[in-house]
Amino acid sequence: MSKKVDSVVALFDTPDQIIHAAEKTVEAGYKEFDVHTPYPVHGMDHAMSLPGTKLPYVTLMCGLFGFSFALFFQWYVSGDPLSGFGAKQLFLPYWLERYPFVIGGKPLFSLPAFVPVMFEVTVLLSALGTVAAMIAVFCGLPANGHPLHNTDYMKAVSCNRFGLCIEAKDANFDEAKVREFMLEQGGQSVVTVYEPYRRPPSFFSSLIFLGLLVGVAIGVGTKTYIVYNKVLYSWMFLWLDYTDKVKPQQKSEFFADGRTMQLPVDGTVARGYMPYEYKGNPEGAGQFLVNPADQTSEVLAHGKKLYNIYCTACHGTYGDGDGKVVVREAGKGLKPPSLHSSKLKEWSDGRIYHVISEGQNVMPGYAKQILADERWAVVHYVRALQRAKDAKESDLQ
Amino acid sequence: MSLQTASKVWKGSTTSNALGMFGTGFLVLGILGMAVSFATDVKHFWHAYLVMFMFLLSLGLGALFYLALEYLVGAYWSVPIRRVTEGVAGLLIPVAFLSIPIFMGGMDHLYSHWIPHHAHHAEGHAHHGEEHDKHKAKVDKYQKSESNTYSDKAKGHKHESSDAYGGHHEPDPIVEGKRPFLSKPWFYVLNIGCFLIWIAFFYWFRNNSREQDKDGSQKYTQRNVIMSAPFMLVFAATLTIAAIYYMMSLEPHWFSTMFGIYYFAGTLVSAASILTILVITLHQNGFLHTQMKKDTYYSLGLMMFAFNVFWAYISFSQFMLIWYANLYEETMWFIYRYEGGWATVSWFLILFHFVIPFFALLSRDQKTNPSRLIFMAYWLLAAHILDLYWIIVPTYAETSFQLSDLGFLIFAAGFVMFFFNSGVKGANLVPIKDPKLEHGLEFKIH
Repeated sequence: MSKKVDSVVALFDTPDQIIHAAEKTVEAGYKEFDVHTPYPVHGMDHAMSLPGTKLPYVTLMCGLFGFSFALFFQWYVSGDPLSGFGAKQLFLPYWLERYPFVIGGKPLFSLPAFVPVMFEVTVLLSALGTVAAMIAVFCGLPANGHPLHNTDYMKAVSCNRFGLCIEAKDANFDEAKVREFMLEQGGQSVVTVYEPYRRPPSFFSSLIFLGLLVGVAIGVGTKTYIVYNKVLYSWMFLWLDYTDKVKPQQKSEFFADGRTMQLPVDGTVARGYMPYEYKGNPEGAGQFLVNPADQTSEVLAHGKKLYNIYCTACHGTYGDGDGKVVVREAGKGLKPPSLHSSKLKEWSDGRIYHVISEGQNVMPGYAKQILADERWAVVHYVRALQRAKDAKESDLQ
Repeated sequence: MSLQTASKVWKGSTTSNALGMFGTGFLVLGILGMAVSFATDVKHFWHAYLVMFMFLLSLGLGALFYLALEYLVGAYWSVPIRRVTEGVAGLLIPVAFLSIPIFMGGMDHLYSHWIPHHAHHAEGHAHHGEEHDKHKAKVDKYQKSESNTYSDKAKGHKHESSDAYGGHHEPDPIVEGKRPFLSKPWFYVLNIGCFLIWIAFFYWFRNNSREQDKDGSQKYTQRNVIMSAPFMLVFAATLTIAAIYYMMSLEPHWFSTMFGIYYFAGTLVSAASILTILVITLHQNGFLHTQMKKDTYYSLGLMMFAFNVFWAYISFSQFMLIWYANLYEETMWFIYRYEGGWATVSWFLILFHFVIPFFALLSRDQKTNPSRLIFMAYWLLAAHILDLYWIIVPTYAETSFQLSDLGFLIFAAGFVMFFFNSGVKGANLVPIKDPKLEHGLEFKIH
């Protein structure tokens, strides 16, 4: 099996010689050739008559893409999709949603605010695109091998010599002629470089490597098993694992019926909760309940606060029965009575308290929202409203 | 070293004589055109004059900056063309004389918004009153709430003559705050001081450079290097002062902290452009050094490109910050240029000054092609004039251009030709014994 020729190489001593040799190579009509020098030699591009690089076009394209992408993205993201297009029927998946936030009182589409971002993205994408294209496309990386590697030629040109390399893929390539040409140009150490046999790289195919992989798999598996099943369950603090509490679904040894969770005794009352005696008995409440709260300004202020939160929606701020709900839902039969009617004025505090707690007609009870003491404060405030509505001369002094 | 014989001698050459002759002719023609303008519309004349003045000033200042920059950073590439830079920087001396008419007569027309002019009451009462009404109307448009309170007050003393507007209007509190700065004495002192500083530095740089032609001693370079560092600081301050006085104070109510650097950016673009034109033209006619390559043209093109992008960056930043903050004291300046006829000019300016030159100068081929480079240099000079026109003229008028304005352009062209010619006559066109010259001639782009 004969070796396949990759290229013929020669070494030169000075930059001038190599530039001259490169010019002559171009004159001789060779196209597929390369020059290797330990440092960039000025004028080499010209001597090799290399065409200008196409890299700037990549930069330009990336830059223009970044510019238009940033513009489009910002236009899309800050746009309002719901304006004018049958808004509510438009369904967008969550990852296509737009964020029409008004910032600084500017229009949603404000080009001056977008320009800095467009500029940044333009610069970023041009830079990244240029480097990526240079490495991947123009330099052909990553490449894991080249016939010239590990040759004396490569050692020399990466140290102190200047090398010319004419490759076999050139149309005019003829090994004998090329060697002769190189000698004519004053090349030294003219050598033919052969392609290596196409055997697969040794390390990746060897049984050792496979064995290593299996070993790693077993090792990692074992380690994972031990960590998740042993290490994490090793007991360092036993007192937290073993306490005297009863766990769900556990049978009780103590109680006769074997239930761990016993029902409360009849008549048990929750802490801080007093059951309401006059449930469904407004007359009783009106007759027997007495307002326990003092008529201090703090209590009134608290009552006012709660009244404004819970009552104004229907009864109105001053208890005239003209709250927002009533006004908005006018004509639907919602007509809470005025708190200033003579009937209400005659009601005792307990009667009003009962309505607040239990509700009446459409009105729901507020026992869940307002604590008992606070309900009494609201009653005081309602009384204050009533008094303020028809203030006597003496009240004003 | 036969460096001197390598290029044609400027003094006495046909090109030099032709430049002097045409320059003189243009100057005369230009003065005629300016006289027509003066006769037809005095106010327009002074604004057009200011545009021309700021344009010529920016050529000189930009060249002076490049001169100092070369010494400060130890640049090589610009050494072979330094005499041209010196020649353009030398325009500062005649430009200083161009400022005299502004001091003498133009101020009252240009800066009437902040100059108290009791002296003019007798002859121009009605005239000035009209202008102030117009100006005041502009301001009022954007600060209605404030001016209402002031106008109430103003009704009381309408006929007093001691306020900022020569007795016709209530004082503008912002202008009042700037009063110590915006006054005739300070205007004279600071601007004359600026010119003296620039000219002193110019002579220092140029004389050391010329002295070096005799013995090629390194010490002259060293002297210039030492002075170039403080120059940068002084230059930043003086250029800002000049920009504020001559242009920003046209609208005394307005302020922008970026205005100085905005003018500076335009200055660098136009100076790089005029250098490109002169260097390429002279070199192709056999002057300068024969060994100089296109790579030097490339560098000049690069300067134009880079500083043009810088101009765009600065002018956009100035606009964006004001647009974002949206305070009426600041936005009023842009609103004149944002609406009506000036909006067209503004859009055109973006296109003409930035977008087209950006793409036209982007590739290396464009920057190494002399004829295209010269074309773009003229383009950018025109763009800079438009930029100055856009800054100066909207303060007093809607879009306006008169045929006699060409007189100013002709005058500016003649001015550059004539004074550049006379400025570079005194020495070689190449600094023949500069230690950095040879290195500079070898300059090569990669």
